[in-house]
Amino acid sequence: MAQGDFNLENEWKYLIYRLGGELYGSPLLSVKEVIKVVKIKPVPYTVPHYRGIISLRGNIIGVVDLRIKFGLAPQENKYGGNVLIVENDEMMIGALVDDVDSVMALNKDDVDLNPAIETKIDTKFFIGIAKVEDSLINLIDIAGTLSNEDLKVISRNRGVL
Amino acid sequence: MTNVSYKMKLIAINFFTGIISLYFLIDGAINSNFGQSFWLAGVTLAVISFLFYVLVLRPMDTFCENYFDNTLETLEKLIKNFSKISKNSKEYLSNNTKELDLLLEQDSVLAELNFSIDKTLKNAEESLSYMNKSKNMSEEGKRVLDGLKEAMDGIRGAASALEEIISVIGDINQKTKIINEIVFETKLLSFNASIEAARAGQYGKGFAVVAQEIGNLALMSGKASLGISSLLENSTNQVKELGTYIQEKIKDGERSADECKRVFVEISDGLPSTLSSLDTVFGLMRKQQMEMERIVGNIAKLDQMIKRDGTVTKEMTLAVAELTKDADELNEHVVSMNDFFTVGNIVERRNSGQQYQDQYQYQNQNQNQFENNFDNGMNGTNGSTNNNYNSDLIIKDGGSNFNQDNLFANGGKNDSSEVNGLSNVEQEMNNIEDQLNPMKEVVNGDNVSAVDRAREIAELYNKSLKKNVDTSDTPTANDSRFKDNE
Repeated sequence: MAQGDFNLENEWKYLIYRLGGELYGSPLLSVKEVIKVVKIKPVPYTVPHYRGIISLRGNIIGVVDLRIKFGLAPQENKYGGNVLIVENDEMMIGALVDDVDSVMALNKDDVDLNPAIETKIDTKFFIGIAKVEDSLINLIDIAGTLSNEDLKVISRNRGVL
Repeated sequence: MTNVSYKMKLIAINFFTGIISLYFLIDGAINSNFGQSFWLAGVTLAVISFLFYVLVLRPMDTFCENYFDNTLETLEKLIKNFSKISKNSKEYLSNNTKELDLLLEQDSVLAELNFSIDKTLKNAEESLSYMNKSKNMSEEGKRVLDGLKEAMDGIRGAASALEEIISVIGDINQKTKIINEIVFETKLLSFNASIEAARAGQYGKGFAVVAQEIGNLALMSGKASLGISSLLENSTNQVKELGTYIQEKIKDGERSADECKRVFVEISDGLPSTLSSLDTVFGLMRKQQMEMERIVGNIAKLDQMIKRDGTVTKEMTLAVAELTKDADELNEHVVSMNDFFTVGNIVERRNSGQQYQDQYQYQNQNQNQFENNFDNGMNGTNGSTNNNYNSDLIIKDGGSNFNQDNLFANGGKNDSSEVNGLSNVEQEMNNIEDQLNPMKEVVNGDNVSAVDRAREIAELYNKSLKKNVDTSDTPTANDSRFKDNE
């Protein structure tokens, strides 16, 4: 990540979204685009959280259901849901969320970067917990959370296509 | 008196002829001229007067004696019978009064019955009018209910209009969904704008604010749209509930109205049969009333008849008195004739005739007294029952059916006609009594209803009237009553 390109103010801007009724947040700059869910084409022989592929302006993008990935109960999106298009160094990944809530600028004081929590998943993609108006927001690095295995799958799909 | 002077003349002529013949005979004897015509004339006159006495006056006397003896005997019988008639008339009248009392009693009962029938009729008429009223009311009610049903249909139309409102609300909701869509898109746009602004760094700072504002606007729009949606949903629910409620109420109202109408129809359907049955009852009652009136009329007639009988008896008594008077006069003639012929026992007979006459006068007096009492009694009952039994009216045409003028027309002229007249009177009396007896039985009968009794009385009376007419035309010698009395 080219951190130097962004000023401090932008560093602390987060895109807040919902997953299973809970608020999650990801750095705004890690998200390339927010799109409305279109028809997701299922792909056989994939892991459960891999929902399939979509076509965005001619690019085939694999979509991962973050609910399933995070071990939450799977749920059909009421309002169609949103897909956050995330770009890492190799490729673009679509992350399916229930709903995008807002863009929030967080103060450093509001963020607890080292909370005492136990988790099964790799905590290197867990940024911390923000406290905003009585509610807690999990701050997650979306790009990092997708494992290498996931990336492989997506990459191979793209290769086949 | 002409008869007497004629007889006297005859005797005087005979006597004078005797004197003249004696004179001639004596003159002849004194002068001794027996051969002369005067002496011969005297002899002839003496012979003539002797012969006149022997051949005319003596037989005439004997004949008269025998003839008037017979006449007197007949007259005695006649007077005896007259007294009997008078007596029987009295009895008959008293019987009639009893019957009349019974009849009058009956009549008051009938009047009461008639009054009660009148009252019932009035009540029935009232209830009939009430029924007619209620029939009209039920018809009115049916009309009102029809109006109510129309109103219900109107309300139903209003309820369907409510459904239209619901559909309009649905349309609005649809439009709100579009707004929501726009809001969603705007939100996405604002997010993407924010992302692009962040990527532009320092240069995208202003744009980031715009994106933020757009996002806020989208949020506000979204909230408003959400509010509208919830409001619309509420309205839809409320309108739906209202519609269902109105429909239910309309159904309830229609059910009630139908029930009400059914009841009204039942009432108005039931009313004609009730009315017709009431009409039948009415008709029967009217018939009964008419019959009752007829019965009362018949009783009035009967009363008239009985009174007329009374008048007949009265007239009969008067006629008997006349007859007796005539007989007496006849007797006087006989007596004077017998005086002339110097029949000794005539006086005795005359006295006995006087005795009969006295007896008759006494009876006649009693009869008059009785009749006065009877009339008074009648007037008293008239006053109490308020029925128009006009005795004057009855007396006016009384006796016309009984032909007593014919019966007594020949009275006093000669013996045979008197006897015939008497037998007719007796027969008449017997007939009347014979006819009244069954009537009496009917009147006294306990098991027969009053109406039937009155009807029977009326029928019997009609029969008796017919009989009277028949018997007065062709009299028969049926004298059982008098024979029994003798």
